[in-house]
Amino acid sequence: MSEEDRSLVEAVLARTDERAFAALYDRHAGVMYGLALRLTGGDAPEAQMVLHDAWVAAVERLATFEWRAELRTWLCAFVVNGARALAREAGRNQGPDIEDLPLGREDERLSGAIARVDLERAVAGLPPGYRHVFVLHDVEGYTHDEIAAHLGITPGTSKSQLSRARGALRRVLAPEGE
Amino acid sequence: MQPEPPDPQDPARGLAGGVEPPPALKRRVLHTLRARGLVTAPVRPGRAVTRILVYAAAALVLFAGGALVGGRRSGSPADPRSRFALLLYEDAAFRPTVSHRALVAEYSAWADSLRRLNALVMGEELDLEDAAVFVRSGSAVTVSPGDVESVAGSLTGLFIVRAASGEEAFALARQCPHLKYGGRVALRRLTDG
Repeated sequence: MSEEDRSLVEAVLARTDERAFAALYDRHAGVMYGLALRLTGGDAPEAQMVLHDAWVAAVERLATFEWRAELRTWLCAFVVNGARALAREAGRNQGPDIEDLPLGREDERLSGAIARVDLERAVAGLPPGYRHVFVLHDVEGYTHDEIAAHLGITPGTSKSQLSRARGALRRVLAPEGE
Repeated sequence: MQPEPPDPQDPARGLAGGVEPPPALKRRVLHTLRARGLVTAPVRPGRAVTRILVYAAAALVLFAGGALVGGRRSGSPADPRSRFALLLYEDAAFRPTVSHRALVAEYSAWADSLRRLNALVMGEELDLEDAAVFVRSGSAVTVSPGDVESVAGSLTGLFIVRAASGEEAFALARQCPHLKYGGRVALRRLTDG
């Protein structure tokens, strides 16, 4: 647990200290924005809305943070919730487009040499529900239980969406003729 | 939530990492937090003097633009209605209960309803990026970053509408969704040269 985070949070809560908040922002906004970009499929305006709303919601609830987890983890939860709400507000498909794909083995991660730009494009093309699970599990390293808690789905749904997302990515990323 | 250790063989893990957000976003977050009273801007020495100068300069500019030079005519041969500006302000009382995206959608929907009435000239959100206040003092022009300080808060939006009368413009202003969330709307008739 970062003592610097703790002292900055205390300054924001005790004195509404803008400089302390700015320091908190500088420490964590990069990680939060990277996550927001990945969850929104690289849509910068949407990612910026998510980041803006995440910070506002987090500061409004800052007094409730109990320091049982890292502050950054707690802040990123607002990004995840915001991206999910954004997809829901926009009425976007949460997953059925690839529902008919066969389930793969859950432990089959992507492997081999894949150009980052190709992978980013392929992930961005996933329906939001699948993309969120893939990004949180395979990119960010969350467990299925954690993803289920964040996204309001069951761990089983998280596993099946991950499996289908990996299958869809393999199909998109497969070399011509395979 | 503790991320698993990165696997160098997994290309997905290569996507992880931070990305620097645009500087304007930080200013927007700070603006929102200030407006909601969640953070307080540091006090800058000499700010009050600057504020007086800014108001004086703004008054001069408006007077010169409207009364001396002559503004663009409000009406036109094709549309004799007057143009009115609706200036949207946010201060600590402005507390949207929906996300920024939903807010933008709601304001856009209102603008669309004005457009259908043929009452909308333009509507824009005003960004705080590159916001600055310019004041000529002697032979020098001083520039202060940010918005003009006002008891109404920061100017964050602008609509120009057409209305046949002041009463009709009042009725349009009363319907502005900005009011629902605690924002203020100032109405001004554009000077008819």
